[in-house]
Amino acid sequence: MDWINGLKLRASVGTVGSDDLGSYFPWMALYVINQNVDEPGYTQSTTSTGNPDLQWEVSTNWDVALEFSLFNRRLKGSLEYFDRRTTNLLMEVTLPPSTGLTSHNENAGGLYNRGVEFQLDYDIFRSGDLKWNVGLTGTFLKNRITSLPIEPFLRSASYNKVEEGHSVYEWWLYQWAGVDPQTGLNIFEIADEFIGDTSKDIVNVNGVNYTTNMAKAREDYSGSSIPDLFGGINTSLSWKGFTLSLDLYYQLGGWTYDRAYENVMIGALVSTNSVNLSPDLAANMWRQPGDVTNVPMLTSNATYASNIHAARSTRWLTTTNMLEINSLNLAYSLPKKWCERLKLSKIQVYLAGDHLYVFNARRGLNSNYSLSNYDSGGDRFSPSRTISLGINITL
Amino acid sequence: MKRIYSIVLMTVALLTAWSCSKEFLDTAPTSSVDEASIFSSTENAMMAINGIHRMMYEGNSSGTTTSWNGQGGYQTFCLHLAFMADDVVWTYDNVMYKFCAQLTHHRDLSHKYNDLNYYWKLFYRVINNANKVIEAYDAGMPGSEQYGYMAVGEAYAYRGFALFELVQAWAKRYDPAGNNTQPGVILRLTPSPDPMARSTVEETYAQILADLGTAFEYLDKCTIKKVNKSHFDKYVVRGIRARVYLTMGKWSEAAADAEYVVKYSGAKLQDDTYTTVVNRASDATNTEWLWGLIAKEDNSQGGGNRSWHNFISNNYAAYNRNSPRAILNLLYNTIPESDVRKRLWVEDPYTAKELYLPGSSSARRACWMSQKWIIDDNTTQRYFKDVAYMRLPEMYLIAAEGYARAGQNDKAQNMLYTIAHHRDPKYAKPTTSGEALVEAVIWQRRVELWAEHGTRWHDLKRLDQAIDRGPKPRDGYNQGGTANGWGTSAKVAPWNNPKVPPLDPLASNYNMYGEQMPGEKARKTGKPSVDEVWQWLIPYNEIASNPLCEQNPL
Repeated sequence: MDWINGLKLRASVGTVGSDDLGSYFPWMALYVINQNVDEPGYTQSTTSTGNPDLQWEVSTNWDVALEFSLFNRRLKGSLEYFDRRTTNLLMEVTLPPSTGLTSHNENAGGLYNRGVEFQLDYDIFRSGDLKWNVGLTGTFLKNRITSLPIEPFLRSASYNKVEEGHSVYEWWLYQWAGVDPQTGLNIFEIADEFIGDTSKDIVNVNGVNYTTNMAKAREDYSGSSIPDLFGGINTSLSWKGFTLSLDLYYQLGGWTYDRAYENVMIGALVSTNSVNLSPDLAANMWRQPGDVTNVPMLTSNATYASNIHAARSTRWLTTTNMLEINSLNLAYSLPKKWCERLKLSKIQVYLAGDHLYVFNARRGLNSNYSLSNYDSGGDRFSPSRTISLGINITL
Repeated sequence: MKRIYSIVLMTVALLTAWSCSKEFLDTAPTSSVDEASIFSSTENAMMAINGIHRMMYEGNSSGTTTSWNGQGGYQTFCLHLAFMADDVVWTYDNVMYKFCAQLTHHRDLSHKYNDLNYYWKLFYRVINNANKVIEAYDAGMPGSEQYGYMAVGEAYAYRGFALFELVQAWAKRYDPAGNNTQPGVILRLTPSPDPMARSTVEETYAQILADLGTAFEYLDKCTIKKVNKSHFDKYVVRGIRARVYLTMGKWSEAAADAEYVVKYSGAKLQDDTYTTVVNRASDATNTEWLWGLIAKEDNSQGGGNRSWHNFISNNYAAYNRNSPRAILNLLYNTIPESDVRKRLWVEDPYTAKELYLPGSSSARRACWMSQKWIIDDNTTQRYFKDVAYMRLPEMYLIAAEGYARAGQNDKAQNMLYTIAHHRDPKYAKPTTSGEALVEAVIWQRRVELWAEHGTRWHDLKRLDQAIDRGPKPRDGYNQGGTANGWGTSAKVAPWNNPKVPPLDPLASNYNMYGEQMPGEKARKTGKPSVDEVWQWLIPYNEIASNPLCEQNPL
C-alpha cells in the first residue's frame, strides 16, 4: 500500500439560523409615509403585512469528505458529500393582487441543497526545471423543496413557481414552440383547458395544433437557473524562470431568462425610435409565407404585440452552459544573480489577462449563475476583459 | 492579590457598561410606522385616509420598458379609458397610450407590469386600506367622535368608489332589464390573504350602494369641514351614487342624488371656467369642483412623468409636445360658435391666433388639438396640477338625463338649460322630450366632460353603444397619413395644402395623423352587451395566485 501517502475521512455537522428577509422588522405590520398635500398620510406596506409568529429559519449542514494524497503525493484531492437541510423556510409568499398586497412573510416548509464536491490536483512533472500541474474542481448541486404546507405560488416576478418536489430556482414559463412559417407569428403549446378549442388563434403546423394567443398557452417548469455542475480547471507550467498559468471556469446544465436579449428583439413594439435592435432581427426575421425561422415577423400592429413579444415564454430562455478563460498569466522571474547585483531580492515581469473569453450561448450574456438575481438577466453583462503588463519588485 | 481584585472589578464594571439594555433591543422602524400607532386614535386614523387620497395619484415606479402607459394612479386609469373611447383622438406616433387607443392593452395578459395588474391592484389597495380603517373603527378607537365619523365615512366611500370602478371595467355591463348574474368582482370586505371568488354583478352593485349609504350616514353626522377637495364629504358621496344609479338605469334615484348635490353642495358654476388661461381646468379652487386631486405646489408629490397633465395637456412640455391630443372632428363640428367650449379645441393650429403650445422648439401641432388643460408653466417637465374627479356640470347633466328618462321633462329641461346656457348664451330653452332630450344631454356630456374621468367609455358601456370613431374617407378623397399632409412637420392644415387631395367632409379625423398608427382595426367595436372587448381581463397574477377567481372570456 505504499502508493497511498495520506487518507483522511472527515465529517461535520452544524446548525445555523437565518432571518434573511431583507427587512429589519419582518414580523411587523407597517404603514409607509404617503403624504397628501400638506396632511400627514400613511398607506399599508404591501409587503410587511405583519406576522408575529415569524421564527428563525433553521439550516442543518452536514458533510462527509474523503481527502487523499496518492502516488508519492503526485495526486491530491478530496471528495465531499454535503447536505444542507432548511426548515422553517422564510419566504415572501405572493398574494393575489385583490388582497391589495404583494406578499407576506411566512415560515413555510423546508428544502435541501445537496450535492457532491470534488477537487483533484495532479503534478505531471515536478522535478528539475520543468514543473507542470493541473487541477480540476467541480460541484454537483441539487435544490428541492421537500415540504410546502401552503398552496404552490409564483414568486412576485412571476418567472418562478414554488412547489413541493421542485427547485426554488426552476423557471415557470409559457411553452414557446417556434414560428408559424405561414403567418410569421410565434406559436405556443396549448394549455390543457383549451385543447379542442377551434378558435382562429389555434393553428396547425406540421400536423400539430398550437396557439398564437399567449393567454391560451401552456405554462410549465422549464429548467433551473442553477447549473447541474460547475467548477474550475487550472493548470500551471513553469520552466526555469518562466511560469504560465491558466484558470478556467465552467458551468453545465443551467438556464437563464435573457431579458437583455428580449429587449433588443422587441424594440420595435415599444417605440419606433431610440431603441437598440439586435442584428438577429434583420438576419432571421420571418418575411414571407414559407420562411422557416425562429424569429417572428416585425410589425407595429398592436393586435400582435403580445404574440411577437412572447414575454415570460421559453423563447427567451437561454442555456448558461459556459467555459470562461478566467485568467491567463505569463510571468518571468529574473535570475537571482541579476537581482543580487541590483540589491533586490526578486524581480518578476508578467503579462496577465482576466476574463479573456467566454464560450457561451450568446455574446455579451452573463451566464454566471446567481442565487439572488436569477429571475432576470436584465442589466447583467459579461465582466469586462482586462489585460495587464507589470513588474513586481521585492526589496 | 490586590491586583487581581482590581482586574475583576474592572471587568465587572466593563461588562455592566457594555451590556445591552432590553429597551435597546426593542427597536422601532424609522422610515415607517407600525399599524398599532396608526389606529391608536380616530385623529391618527385620518392619516390612513390621507394615505388613500395620495394613493389615488401615486406614480408607479416599477413599470419601465414594459409599461407603455403612464401609471400614476386613478388619473391615468381615466386617461386609459379616455383613449379607448371615440371622442379623444390619438395623433402622432408616440408609444404612450397607443395600445389603449388600439383597444389591445386592457386585454393583454402577458406583462407583469401591464395596466391590468396595476389598476386592478390599485383599486384593491384602496379597498384594503379602507377595510383596515373600517375594521379598526369597528373594534373601537379612542379619540374624537367627529374624526371617527370622518375617517370611517371616507373609508366606506372609498370602498364603494373602488368597487364601482372595478365592476365597470372588469365585468359585463349592468343590464337595467335585470338578471345580472354575470361575474362581477371580488368583494373583499375584510382584510384577508385568502383566495376568493368573484361575486355577481348584482351583488357587487348591492355592495356599492350599501357602502355609499353607510358613508353618507357617517359623513352626514360629521361637522368637521374638509381640509381640501381631495376629501369626500356627503355631497361627493351622493355624486358618486348618482353615477352608480345612472349606470344601473335607476333614473329617478340618479336624478334625485344629482339634484341634491346641485342644490346643497355649495358648488357653483363659474363664469371664467373655460376662458381663464392660467391653469385652465387645472385649479381646484374653481367653484365647480367637488372632488379632485390637489397638487402640492412644490410638485414634490407628482410621481414623476406619470401625471394627468403630462399626457393630456397640450401645452405641457413632456410627452404631448410629440403627440398633441385632439377631439373627434365630427363632434367638434357640432359645437356652435357661440359656445365657449368651441375654443377648447383648435381646428387649424397653423393659422390660429391664440394657441398654447409647450415651450419647446420641437412642440408639434395637430388639427383639432385640445386647449382644455392649460398650465401656467409650459417649460417644466414633471409638473403637476390639480385634476378634477367630479365637477358640478356633471351633476346637472345626470339630473337632466335621469329626469328625462323618468319622464319628468320640465325638471330635465331646466337642469339641462342651466348648464348649457351657462356655456352658450345663445342656447335656447329645450322643448323636446324623450330620446331627443336625452340625446341633447349626452351631447353635453361629451363636450363638457371631454376626456374627463373615463366618462365617454363608461357612457358607451352603460348605454350599450358600440365604439364608432366615424367613417374613413371615401375613395378619391384624402386618405390621411404624412404623405397626404397630416405629418408632424406639416406647415399648413391638409385642407389648405394644394398638393394633397381634398378632405372627405363626412370622414372623421381618426387614423389620419402621421403614420396612422392607431390602425383601422379599432375604428369600430361591437356593442358592449355582445363584444368581449368591453371587458378588461383579470390580471395574470390574480388568476395564478387565486384559484377561485374566474377569468373573463378571452
